[in-house]
Amino acid sequence: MIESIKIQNFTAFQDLSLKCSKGLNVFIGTNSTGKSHLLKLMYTVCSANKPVEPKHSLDPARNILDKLNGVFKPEGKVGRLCRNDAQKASVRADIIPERFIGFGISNDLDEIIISENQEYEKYSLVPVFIPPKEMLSNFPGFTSLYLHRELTIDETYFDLCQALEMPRLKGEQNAQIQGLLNSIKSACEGEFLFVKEQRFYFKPVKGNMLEAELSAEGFRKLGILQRLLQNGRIQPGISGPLFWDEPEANLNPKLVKTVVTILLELARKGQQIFLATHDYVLLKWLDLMVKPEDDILFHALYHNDKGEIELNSTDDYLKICPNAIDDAYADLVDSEIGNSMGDLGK
Amino acid sequence: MRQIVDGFEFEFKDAVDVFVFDEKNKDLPTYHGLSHAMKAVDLVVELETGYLFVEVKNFHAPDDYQDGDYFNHLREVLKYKYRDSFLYRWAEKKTDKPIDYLCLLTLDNALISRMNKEMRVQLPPGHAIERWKRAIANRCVVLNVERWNHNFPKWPVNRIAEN
Repeated sequence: MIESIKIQNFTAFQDLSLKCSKGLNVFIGTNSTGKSHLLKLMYTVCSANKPVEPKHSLDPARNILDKLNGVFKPEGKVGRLCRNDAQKASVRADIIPERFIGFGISNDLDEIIISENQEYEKYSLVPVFIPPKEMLSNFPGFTSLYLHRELTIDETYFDLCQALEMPRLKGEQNAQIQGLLNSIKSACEGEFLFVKEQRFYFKPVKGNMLEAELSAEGFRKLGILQRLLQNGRIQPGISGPLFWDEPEANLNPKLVKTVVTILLELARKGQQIFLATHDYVLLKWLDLMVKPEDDILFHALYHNDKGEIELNSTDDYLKICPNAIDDAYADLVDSEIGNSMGDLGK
Repeated sequence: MRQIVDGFEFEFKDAVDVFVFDEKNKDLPTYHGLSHAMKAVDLVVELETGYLFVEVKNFHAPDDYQDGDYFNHLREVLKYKYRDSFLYRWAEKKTDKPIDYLCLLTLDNALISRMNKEMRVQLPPGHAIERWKRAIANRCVVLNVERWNHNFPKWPVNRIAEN
């Protein structure tokens, strides 16, 4: 679980400090305010210790370097992740319980320099990153392709496929998780099955089974959640944080309520979650469904007058400022009012 | 002219008159007197060229929206407040100028857009059908405080700090 992160001169960020909620963290902001980069950086910090291949060592500098290169795909050297002309970037992440890691990147080098380290190697909760594009339909053969070919697709897609590939947990499903799975089944009017551990199929409540590629894309996004809950890759209190970049992408707005319901339930059970969203419907459902005892923070990223990215965090929906999503609607409403009211009050 | 309603302070510099429509004080000439029978908008503003009916709802209660009928209920409240106010003013022979209905709500911009659509269908403003020879409302708009100040710079409104 990430408690806080401090970033200097990394990609789009000059100087940014983030304190995280232990439950749900929601990032909003216009394009180019660094939402995805922030999610990917925190994912890197959380996952660098988890060897997905034998090549991994116990050297945190080596592991973070590999993960940054895999997740951000800088061309040539990791030093390209330094902001503009900055000579050096630095990151410090505090991880619960009482661990931290600090590292620097020089713009002309392909190496990581560890500046601070308190038992970072012992952090072992495996995170999950769900990128904007769904992967159920692209799953067959993807991990093999990724391991043996040079691709520009970032490593979060590879990691997700590996997570999807993991078999279901033994025994009966935890009753609470089963409840969430039932919600997904009800919303999709069916469920996804992993047949012969090779390919995903969609089994509608009524009708014949069909290949995942032929099912609705929005359903496939929920199918990812279904699979990760079934195989325990998302397990509150056991797995690491869940990072989800634009859950709303290709999701019918009516399905967004199901997603929000599940995310809130997971957060209430102790799952730390990081979302980046552009979606009013998702944000509004959060506002409507959050209870006072919920641990939630809305993080608004924006460019200040100097063009630097800044952050405002609040636990109050009404105090999200600036609210890039609602501001987009303001233009629409102003146009609508202008058309209907003419010069009144001008 | 300044007027405070439900946590907001309005200023209508160019108004001929501004008064609280649902006035409870019997000693004032604007005492409503029919509150038990008729709903009332919060403010009536007389301008040289028309009237404004202003209704204010200052709350943010997410739980209310969980009730599927809440949005429709709010729309009905706004609708009937206008209609009863119109009837009252008609009986006073004070519908001699066009009336614009301005509803100041604490809603997100996206929901404001939806409520505007609902109100235009349900009130309805203008000559809604061919048989109508006059309008019961000239125009109608729903706004939050930010949209109000952006669109009506002549009539600034401010939230009054809570103590």
